Parts: sequence; C-alpha cells; structure tokens
Amino acid sequence: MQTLFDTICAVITPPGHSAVAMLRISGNRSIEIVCRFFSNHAKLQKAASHTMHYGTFRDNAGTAIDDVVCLLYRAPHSYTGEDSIEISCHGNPLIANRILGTLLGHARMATAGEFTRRAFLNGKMDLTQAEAVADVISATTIKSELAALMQIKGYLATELKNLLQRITTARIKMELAIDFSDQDLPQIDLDTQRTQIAAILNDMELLGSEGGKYIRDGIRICLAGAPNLGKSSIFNALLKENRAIVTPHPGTTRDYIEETIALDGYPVVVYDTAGIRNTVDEIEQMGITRTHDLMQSADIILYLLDQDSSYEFSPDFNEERMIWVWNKIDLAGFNGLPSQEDWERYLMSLQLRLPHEVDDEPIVMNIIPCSTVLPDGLTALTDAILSKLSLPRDIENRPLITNTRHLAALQRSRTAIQAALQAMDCDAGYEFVAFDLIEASSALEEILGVISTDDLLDSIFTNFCIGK
Amino acid sequence: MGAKTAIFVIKLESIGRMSCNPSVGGPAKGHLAREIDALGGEIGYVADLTGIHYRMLNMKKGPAVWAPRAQNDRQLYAQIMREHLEQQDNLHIIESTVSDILVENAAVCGIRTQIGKEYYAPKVIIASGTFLRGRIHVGNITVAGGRSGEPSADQLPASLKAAGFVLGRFKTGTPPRVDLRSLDFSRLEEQAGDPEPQGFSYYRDVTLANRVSCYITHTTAETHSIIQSNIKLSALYSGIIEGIGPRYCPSIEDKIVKFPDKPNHHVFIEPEGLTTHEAYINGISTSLPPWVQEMVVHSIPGLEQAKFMRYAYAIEYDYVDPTEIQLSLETKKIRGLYLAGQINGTSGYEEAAGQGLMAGINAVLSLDNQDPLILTRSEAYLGVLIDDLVTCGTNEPYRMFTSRAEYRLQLRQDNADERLMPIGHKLGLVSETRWQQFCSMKAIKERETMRLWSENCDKHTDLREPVKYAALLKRPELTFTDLKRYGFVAPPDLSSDIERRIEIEIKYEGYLKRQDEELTKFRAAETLLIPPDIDFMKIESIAWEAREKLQRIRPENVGQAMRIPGVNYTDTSALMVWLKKNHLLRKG
Repeated sequence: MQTLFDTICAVITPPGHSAVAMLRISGNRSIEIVCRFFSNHAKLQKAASHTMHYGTFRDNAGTAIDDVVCLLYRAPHSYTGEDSIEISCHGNPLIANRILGTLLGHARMATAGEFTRRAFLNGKMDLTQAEAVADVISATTIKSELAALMQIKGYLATELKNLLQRITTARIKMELAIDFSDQDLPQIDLDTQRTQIAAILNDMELLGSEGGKYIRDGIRICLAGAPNLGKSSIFNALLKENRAIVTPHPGTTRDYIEETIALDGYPVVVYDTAGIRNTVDEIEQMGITRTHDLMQSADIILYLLDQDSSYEFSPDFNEERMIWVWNKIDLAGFNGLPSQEDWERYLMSLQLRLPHEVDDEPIVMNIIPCSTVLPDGLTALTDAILSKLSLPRDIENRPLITNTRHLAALQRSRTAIQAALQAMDCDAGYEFVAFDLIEASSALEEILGVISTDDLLDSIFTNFCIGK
Repeated sequence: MGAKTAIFVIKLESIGRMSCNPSVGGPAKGHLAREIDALGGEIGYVADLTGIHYRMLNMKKGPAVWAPRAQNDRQLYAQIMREHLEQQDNLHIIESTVSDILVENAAVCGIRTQIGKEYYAPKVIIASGTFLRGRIHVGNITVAGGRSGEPSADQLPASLKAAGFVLGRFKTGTPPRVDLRSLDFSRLEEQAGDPEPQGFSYYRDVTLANRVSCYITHTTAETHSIIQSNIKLSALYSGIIEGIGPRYCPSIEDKIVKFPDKPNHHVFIEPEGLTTHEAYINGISTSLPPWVQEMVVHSIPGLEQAKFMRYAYAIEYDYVDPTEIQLSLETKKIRGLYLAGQINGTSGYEEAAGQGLMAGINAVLSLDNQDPLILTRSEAYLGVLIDDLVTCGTNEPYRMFTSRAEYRLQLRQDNADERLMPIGHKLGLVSETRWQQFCSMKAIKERETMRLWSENCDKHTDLREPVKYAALLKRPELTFTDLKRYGFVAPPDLSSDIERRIEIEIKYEGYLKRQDEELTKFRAAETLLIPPDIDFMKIESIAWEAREKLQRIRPENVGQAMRIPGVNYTDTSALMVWLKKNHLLRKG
C-alpha cells in the first residue's frame, strides 16, 4: 500500500537516448536499498552527504548492469528533505529501465510530482516554488524553462506583489472614505481613481497574455487536408528546420504522427494527420474521424489546399484557428516566396471555388504560399503561425504566467478589476467597488500563497497526491 | 439568562458614565450597537432613550456602510443605565474596588476587594476599562486615576500578573470641555441632525428627536504654531507617556507633528446634554499643560472666548494581551475567568459593550455546561472583533472598522436583527414582545418580496412588455417609493424600514450572491476543527516561528489558524497534511 513517506524512485531524465540518464531514490530506506546492488556499498553506507561514489550497479541475480555514479544526499540536505541518492548511468533507456526495475523490488515508483510534493511537505520549498519546479520538470523548451526559472527566482512574485500593492492602494482610498467619513479627509478624486484602476487592468493583461499559456502547454498545430498535398513533407520540413526536442513515445500505434519542435523558441506540437477525403473504407474512415478530433482540439490548423479543394466542416468549427496553406508553389513556377502582389495575382488567376469567407474577406486572400523545396519556403508559414497566436517577441524579458492555476487566478483578478471599474461607472457605493478590489487582491494572494481557500487546498492535494 | 450575578463598581455614580465623547455609533460602531441590541444588550436602547442628535453617516455611499450615530445626554445616559441595572433581576450591585482574583487549581473561584471582603463565584468577568494602573497626564503632571475624578485600580493588575498574564500598556486621551455660552456661534458652522432620526434599537418603540445641533470649526495657523512651540511640554512628547496610543484617534500634537503640511484640522463641538452647557471639543485631544490648552482653544475660530469647564488629559492603563483569551473570551490560563473591553486592548463603548455581552453569555452557558456562543466573522461584527483580538492580538487600542469585516455587504446595520435576534431570543435575552414584532416584520418582508418577484408592472413608460417589479427595482435610478408610482400597491403593514430592507436585498442581489459564494468557502475552513490538545511544536513540517505562534494562539479551526499573522499558507497546509496523516482532521 502506498503511504505518505515510504521510499520512492523514478528515472528523472527524459525518456530516450542521451549521454547520461539519471534515477533518483528518496526516503529513509534509500541508502540501504542502493547498497544492496552497488559494488562500492561499504563506502556509500558511511559516506557524508553531498559525496559522489563510482561503482558497478548489479541486478538481483548479481549480473552487472552498468558502471554508475551515485550522488548521496543525507536528510535533510536533499531536494526532498529525505535521504536520497541520484544514480547516473549511461543514457540508454534499457539500462535506466533495468536499474529502475531492480530498485522497484524494494521501493515504490514515484508518482508524478511526488519528489516535489515531499520537498513541499518537508518544508524545503514553499508553494509557489513547488509549482514552479513542477513546471521546470515538464518544461520542454528553453523559454519554458526560463519562465519557470524566473518564477522560482521571484520575478513573478515581484510583479504580482507590485500589482497587489497597487490594488491595495486603490482600495485604501475607498476604505478611508467609508470608515472615516466623519473626519475631514480629502474627497476621493474618482477620475484619478478610475485611471489608476484601469492602468492596473492593462498591466494584468500584459502579464497574463495568452503567450504564457502557450509557453507551458505547447502550441498544438494540426496539419490537415486532402491526401497527397504534401502534409508529410511540410511536417518533415518543419522538423528539419526546427530542432525536434522530444522523441516519439514508443509502442503506440496511431493514425497520426506527433512531434514537438521549438518554433522560434516556443514549444510546438505538430500533428501530421490522415488525409481527409470521402471514403467507404472503414479503417480509413476511423482515421479521418480522429483527424477531425485533433483539428477540434488544436490551437492552429494548417489546412492544405489545391485547385480542386473544397472543404466542409461542422458548423461549430472555429475558422479563426485556420491557416490556409498552398504547398508546392515551386511547381507553379515560383523560384522563391512571391511578393504579396504577385501571389494575389496568381491566386486570382486560379479562380478557386472556395465557398466560405472569413471576416467578409474571401479566403483566397489569406492563403499562405509554401514550399518545402525552395530556400525560405517555410518562412511565410512560420510567420503566419506566430502572428496567428500574436505572441510577444520579447518574451524573455517579461515574467509570464506559465501555470494553468496561476493563469486562472490572474483571470479572476482581472474580472474583478473590470467589475470594479463597472461599479464605479454606475456610481455604486464605495463598499461595492472595494468588494471587487478585495476579490482582485485575494485572487492574486492565492498565486503568492498568502491566503488560501479550501478549494485551493483540494486542487493542491489532487496535483501532489497528498494524504491518500 | 437567570444566573445569580454581582457587579462591582468603583463608584455607584459612575455606572454608565461616558468617559470619552457623549456619542454612540459611527461607521462599524453603529453596526456593533445594533448587533448588541439584537442580542438583547443595552447600549443601543439606552443610546436611543438618551439621544439628542442623530445622523446616519455614509448615506452617499452604499447601504452596507450606512452608519447610525447619536449624540447623547451624558448625565441622562448614566442615570438610565443605572436604573436598568437596578431593575435587572438576579443582579446585585456593589460599590467596591476589586483587588485580587482568587484562583484554585487554575480555575477562578472568586474575588477579594480592597476592603478585604471575599466573594466566591465559579465565573468572574473583568471589565476594567482604563482603570488598571490608570495614570492621568496633563503636561508634566501625572496623577493616578481611572478617568477624570475617579481612582485607579492598582492592585488588580498585580494579581493578574501573579496569575501569569502578560500585561501591556496603552494610552488614550480626551479633549477639553467648554461652556457653550462662551462660544461665538456666528463663527461656527451648524451641523443639524437628520430630518428623520434613526437610532440603534429594534422593536423598543422609542421616539427619537433631535434636540440640539453640533458645530464645526477648525484649527488655524496660530493653533499650529502654539503647539509647535510648546510641544516639549506635552506629556506625549516629553517622554512621560510610554503607552501606545491609537493611530486612528491621534492627539492634536500628533496631528500637527505628523502632518505638518495640513493647514488646518476640523474641530467638532458636541453638546453634552440638555441640562448642562458643557460641550465636548472633539478633535483636539491633548496632554499639553492647562495654559497651553487654553491658548490652543482660543486660537480656534468661534472659541476665542471659550471658558474651560474641564481640561484635556491623556491616560495610560494596563491591558492583557488578548491572545491570552479564547474565542469565548475565557482566558486560556485560568478557567472561569473572562475578560471584556479595554482590558483586551480595545477602545470604544460599542467594542466594550459587545465583549461584555458575549463574556456574560458565555460565562452562563459554561455554568450550564453548554458550548460557548462563538459568532463567526460571517455572522457579525462582534465575531470579527473577537476573532481579530484572539487570533491576531493588537498593537494599539483596537477599534472596529467596516473594512475589518470580509463579509461587509452582509453585515449591515439594517439587518442586524435578522442576523442575531434569533440567537438572542433562544438565549432568553430578547423579550417575547420584541420577538413577536421581529417575526411579524420577517413575515411581511417575505410576503412583499414574493409579490415583487411575481407581480408584473406595465405602467412604466419605457417598458415594451410587462416586467416583474423586482426587475424594475434593480434599476439604479429607481427606489421602492417609485414602484408605487408605477402601480405597486403597498399594504398598510409595509413600513418604510421593511421597504428599505427589501430594496437593498433586491438591488444588490448580484453582489450579495457573490459574497455568499465567498462565505461558503470561508465556512468550509472554519468547520475543519483542530483538536484542542495538539502539540504544535512537534509538527516538523511547519516553520519554527509558525509553530510557536500556533502553540500560543491555539487556533480552534483551520480557518482561524490561517489568519494568525506569521502562519502562512504553507504552514497551514502542512498542518492540514499532518492532521490528515494522523487522522485528526475533523469536520465540525
């Protein structure tokens, strides 16, 4: 049975081939367990905290698995606050898995975030830090890591504290007017007050911009369209041009291929899907259904078109996420990306029969030229993706909210600030404006870990698997 | 509630004496007075019986912060309060200075008076005001005294200290009183009472009337220069006074030193009663020597010729660190001993009255082995007051403000009876006559609210189709009275008070609903009980500082633990995890 403080272990480096892989074991039995299988156990047993030990790791039968380095941490001076050992082996998934398998004979597999949960429970980090670390663990690109790191260092906290301070300042003026109305205090200048609150709202919007969410979760891009228009060649070209950063999960079969790439620094998950066409083939039809599902959940759909294309989607389909792509422009005689003028002239000459319009503008005007053969053939496409998401380019220099819970809290705070402005506009009593401002503050205090509600505790206990 | 009680006072004549200004109410304080009245207390009732000037403050703000305030006849207030005490069954009034509390096995068993007589009782409530080692300061003269003209209680603090209580020292002050006949009214701005006076009491059938006006004037550049050049003579600035004074009620010296750029400060002239010409000069409390006080007063427009009747003074007194008490107001160290009022670090009549009432209720409940009455922060300002004191302590004389109440929109002065009268009635503190009136008010209110939600209006000109009267009432520009113009038939039993209640609830329904959601979350944490016998020092996942705080305050639930300063979220969640791990987390 899983208890709160038994010894746990896991591979803590990403799956796949690499130079080195690392496992961690944590809990009061971790040293004893490692010593059973480690050639240099006599020394490890007695060694001081923060020491490294080289030796051979053997399995239950005594067969050598690999030469490893054990990094020893004694409680409470470890990440989790418990005795723990980090074992570095060669970066072959098979080796790491065999070591893990051996350890699992005596220790329990750590659940997601459990090391961090223990660090939190043992007072090694506060809530904000614990959540930021959880983000670092799942961070997939440099920018994600940067955002997560900034959060740890308190940049985010500083920004939020500043906002909180300004909200409080605005509130104090209201409170003064209420509680000291019988004294000769200067009247509130409601116009100034309004301007100040509006400025807070503006800064909140910058801080919580959509970019923050994309940085954490990755932008989901789905390639779709009729068969043989070159979806896979675009997929491969995007991969080739941009660094692929995650190896595909092995052992699953699916009707689409998924890769995560870093597009201009943002984690982008690209899905290459089964081509859409009318078919009676049952298996192919299943693949097409899944393509539709993927398109529904994607942030952006790259929909490939050619002269014969038409498209029919369910009415609830969000066309704003669509980028229409015309591939293989090299075959149309272009030697490079055409100018806007040339491209429009070309498209008009085709007399496409595309029924739908977006924003009263014919789709045809928004078709992006693309070629996987021409140099810079993907530039227009990449730009279109980035502008579709209106990502700020100077993202490194600003703290962004990178955690879903944080984003939700900031959103609540923003809504409350908007309500405060509205209340002021219709001359509601000061206590109502103050009520909205308090709500705005307490939402931020939730991010900063100043105050909490039972809801918050619940969500944390859920994420960190506490007390089961 | 039927318990046999004795009350000890230093002077019989000083029962109900208003030591500060002759006024009850104001923001949050008016709310408290109404709550006390709804629970069966006296302050609101006697204030109504003796009121001579009424104003509802904050009328330009929203209904949650409208605040009744009254000027009272000081002599009449004391006289009526003494009458009420003497009429109280089972109450024995004794003039004696209490010198010791008698304690056996960490439980109180009685008191001893200065003249050596002992009285035995299982419950003792100390409500000592500013009398504990009271020291009155005027300039460089210091005399022992509990307030002007009354002796201090010097032995009781020693007895409390011997019992292990931590004592602190606070300071407060009063301004001079002058003869109204010596004022030049042509230079004063008159402040009349409201045309329709509103008081504090519910269902007591008191007729209220404005009988006097108050007056406003201001300090001048001359006032400021007099104070600046004599600042060293003030007890406050010469280092004689060590106690901490309230920041919200500074002396005139403080105002001028701390805000040198402010060219003048308001000064309010408050008549002390109908049978006297004495007036209270609110806004210039001071500990300057008498001749400087005279110069200061005479530099104020309208007061040039003012004749002094009493001089201002500052007073220092002992209080007990309120983290020594529990939410029931019983001390943690000595069973059966309750503290109420200034002794817990508060200031103000209403704050003291509220604690006196709650301590009395809880002492009797405890006699009968019943759970104490703990009002929560979501029920009453009284709950906020006591929770703040017990959970956070206080660094200055504690005064109630509406901003201290998280659930301010619900805790209005108009609905204190709806919030608390059922509790008061259950305790036997609300008479049957009052209770019947309350019940009938509730019935009318519910009936008419239903009608507003069910009856359609088709008489309003910009309506294309009929709408419910309630929907119409939600419009910011319309009041209940307007509804009658648009066809709503008001039955004779619908009073303007009930109309106002209904209007507030319908108009602000959206806000009240939002606050209700907050309330639900709040209650969830309040119902997670912490067992009373936990050794917090052993919970290693909690930061050391927080452990010490928890050990000292001994919070009764997770919600209260979260409010202790120095106990942060991480500590509270660690506490919860620990309680959960040890199967100690219980829902109350």
